[in-house]
Amino acid sequence: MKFSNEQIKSLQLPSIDVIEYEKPDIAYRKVLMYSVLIFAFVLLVGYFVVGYFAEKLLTLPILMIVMLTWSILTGLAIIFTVKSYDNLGYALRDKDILSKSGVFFKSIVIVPFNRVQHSEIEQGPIERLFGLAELTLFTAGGDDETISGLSFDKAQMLKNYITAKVAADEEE
Amino acid sequence: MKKNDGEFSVPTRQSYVAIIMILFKTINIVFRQLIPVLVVILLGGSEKFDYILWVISVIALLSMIYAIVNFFRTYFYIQDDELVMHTGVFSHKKTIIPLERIQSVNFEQNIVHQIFDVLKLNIDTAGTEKNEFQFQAIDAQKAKRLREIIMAGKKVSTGIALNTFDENQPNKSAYKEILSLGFTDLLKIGLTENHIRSGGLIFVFFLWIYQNLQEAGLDVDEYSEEIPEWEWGINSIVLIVFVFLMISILISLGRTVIKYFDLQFLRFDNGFKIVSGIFTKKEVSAQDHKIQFISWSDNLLRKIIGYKNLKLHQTKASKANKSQLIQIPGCKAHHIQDVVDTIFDNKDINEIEVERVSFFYFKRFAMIWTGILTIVGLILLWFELYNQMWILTGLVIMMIIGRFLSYRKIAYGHDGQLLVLKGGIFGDKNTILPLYKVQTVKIYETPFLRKKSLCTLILRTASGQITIPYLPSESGRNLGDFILYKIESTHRKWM
Repeated sequence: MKFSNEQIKSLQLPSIDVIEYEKPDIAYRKVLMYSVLIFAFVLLVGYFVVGYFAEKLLTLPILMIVMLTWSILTGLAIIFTVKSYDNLGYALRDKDILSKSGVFFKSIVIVPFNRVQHSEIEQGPIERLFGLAELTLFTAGGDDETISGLSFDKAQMLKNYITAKVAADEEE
Repeated sequence: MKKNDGEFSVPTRQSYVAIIMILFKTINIVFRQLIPVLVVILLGGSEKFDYILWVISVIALLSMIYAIVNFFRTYFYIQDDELVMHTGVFSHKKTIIPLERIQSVNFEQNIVHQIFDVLKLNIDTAGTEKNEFQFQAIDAQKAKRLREIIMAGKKVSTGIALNTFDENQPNKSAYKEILSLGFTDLLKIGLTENHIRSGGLIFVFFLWIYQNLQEAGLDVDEYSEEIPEWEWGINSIVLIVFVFLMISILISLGRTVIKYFDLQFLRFDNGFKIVSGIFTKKEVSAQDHKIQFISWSDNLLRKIIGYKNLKLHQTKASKANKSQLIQIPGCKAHHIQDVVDTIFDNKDINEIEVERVSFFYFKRFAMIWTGILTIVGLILLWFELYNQMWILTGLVIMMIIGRFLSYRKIAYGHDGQLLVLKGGIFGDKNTILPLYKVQTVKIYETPFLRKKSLCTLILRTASGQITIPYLPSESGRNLGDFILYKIESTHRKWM
């Protein structure tokens, strides 16, 4: 559908397709990988704990198959994580913020500043280790938009920028 | 305002009637959970009957204690323009809501409330917090004074004159009736419900009970031994379908009458209101600015008699609170036109040009489900489960036909102000959304969609999301750009 409507034909609408996205901090890739590794490790420990009670699980052929599967799955998860890092991005515009994500199922979410109700900076334990943080924008639309992998200063800066924009909008 | 504050500045409890209400509610919840267990035990043999009586007495006693403790641990007061509420039976919880953040105070009265002259009170708060507060029973006069104080507090702090509800507006003439449903209307609405769906639900329910009984070690077939060998011919299937349809019709008739009894759909100066209910008189209001979008739909049967089901989707104060949806069954085309004219300033909706979505919306679905059917069907064949295979095949064929019909109906378009989305399977569904009410825009692509240069556009509003599937990538992006332009260039508040 082309916008043949007279009212807007003359207007050059800014397009979301020509945006250059900023990448999350490179350390965020490590955060993602560590999260995967920790999860995989917890699974493995869980298996051994169960194995302690059901000794059959720890016999050699079964153990080898399990370890092999575990390594392959963990490897795949890490590859996927790296890929998903490559596909993350956000972009600030004058009046809204864009955030893209997804390896196979890609999505772009655009949050206009004049719809933001409030924003929050959060730091998980692994993120804190790397000095990273994530910024969540709350709108009345329910699903909240989170921009991950920002350095703490950057998150603070973004939050201030957005808060200022929201306030400016409310004044008008 | 200050003068009235005094009454609520001291901790106030609910009316003693609340104990009965909480008790009733608790027992109701507990028993609903226990029904399958009880059915199983009762059928299992009578020697366990004493045991059941014991369990019931203990549950009743515990519920009683719970209700009383709950009553004494629930109280509220107003302090410094804030409503402070203490709740929690096992843990203590203190909640503070600034009066200006309270969206609305709603009353509900069922038959027990009416006898004791008390009201059930719901307090909705603004924002994304999922808080909603409920007091089971508060003395009617007290509740009304509380609402006045809260609304007055709002007025002072926001400077906006709020439309309070009818108790505060003595003259009924402020209301204009758009539609009221008589008994025959209710009958027609009940008869034209989607019986295939409700019949299916009942069928699933029976299957579930049957399985529960079997799991409990009860051989259901044993009881049916006396019944002569059942011929699974076409006759019995017709009979079963007929019985389920009849049950479904009766249930939906009953439900419709109870839910929509004496329904009145009213217009006041800047909003709509519905009053309905047989045992419980229920009132829901929606001010124009709180309505995010509207939709109406019918089904095959209703299409014939020209009835549509109108929904006004207004800002949800909380996810738990679905009662804010205003639903009016039995609307004729001119009623809808009335509402559309009122909210959208006499726009002619039919003049908005619409475009269909991609044929892949159907084709992709059909291919995926044919694939699933083939694989699962082969497995079922392997295990010689012929009946299951036929049922599965039938279901998948129905789904694919449904998707095709839906594909033929889905269309979207806009005129620069309003977005129109059409849909439906046998009936028609229409949704109208003012573009500036959108909160966030999402463009979604699967690998398949990307390959075909298609995308799915998801528009989130403060009252749920609207999805336009399988539209050309470029159109989706243009529409997204345009909606953003609309949101960002107007200062019209979405609420």
